[in-house]
Amino acid sequence: MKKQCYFNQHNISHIDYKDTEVLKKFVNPHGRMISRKRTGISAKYQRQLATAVKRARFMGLLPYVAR
Amino acid sequence: MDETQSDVRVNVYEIGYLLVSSVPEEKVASEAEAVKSIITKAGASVIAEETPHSERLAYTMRKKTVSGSYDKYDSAYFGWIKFEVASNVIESIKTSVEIHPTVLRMLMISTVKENTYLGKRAIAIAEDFSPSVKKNGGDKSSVAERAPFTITKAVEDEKVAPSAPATVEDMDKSIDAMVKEV
Repeated sequence: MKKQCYFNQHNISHIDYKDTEVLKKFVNPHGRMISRKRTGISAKYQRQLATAVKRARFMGLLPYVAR
Repeated sequence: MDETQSDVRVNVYEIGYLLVSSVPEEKVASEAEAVKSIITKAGASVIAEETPHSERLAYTMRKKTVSGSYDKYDSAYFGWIKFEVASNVIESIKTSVEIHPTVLRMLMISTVKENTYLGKRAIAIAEDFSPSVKKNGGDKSSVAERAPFTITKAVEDEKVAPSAPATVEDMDKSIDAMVKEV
């Protein structure tokens, strides 16, 4: 069965780097981003997500490496 | 020069900044106001903002002091301002905020006028997470999904191997059988 895009489902058109609660769902316990194959989100939002995670890391809201 | 003048457009930007934790709690609002005044003095109109609040940083940050040594910070006050300004003054705003003495770090992004920040709504949305993605959230589950057959097979093998000689009599019989074969 095809997965539904998480951001399309919730009508989120722009991913904000400050929403760390959402971003945390797409990084693994080591702080690495989860691939699109496993997140099941569309290419458009995966690109936005990657940018948002990198911005959040720079501002110290998310870790570059954990543990 | 004339070309660049004609290319000037009004865009929406957002500045996120971290104020050093050495600033006392009561002075945070005035420091935030100082950052805001840098932006408004350049002719920007503020669309939205959030006053800085103390935040524990994901990693230790360093800031160079006047003497040349580094101060380390494990927490900081995080605030942001979304504003609309002409594209030709944005570089000067950026450098002015960067060199502000109490600003530990800043990030300037180009964004849209509509609200993109979910805020408290984000927590509810994050909880309402689709199970297919949640399943892939952890490392262990992902390994299980990638190689379901090898893992189950390995478990089956382990179960079969020790269950063969269950009792001492069975073990003796199996040994006898092996000796006869040899």
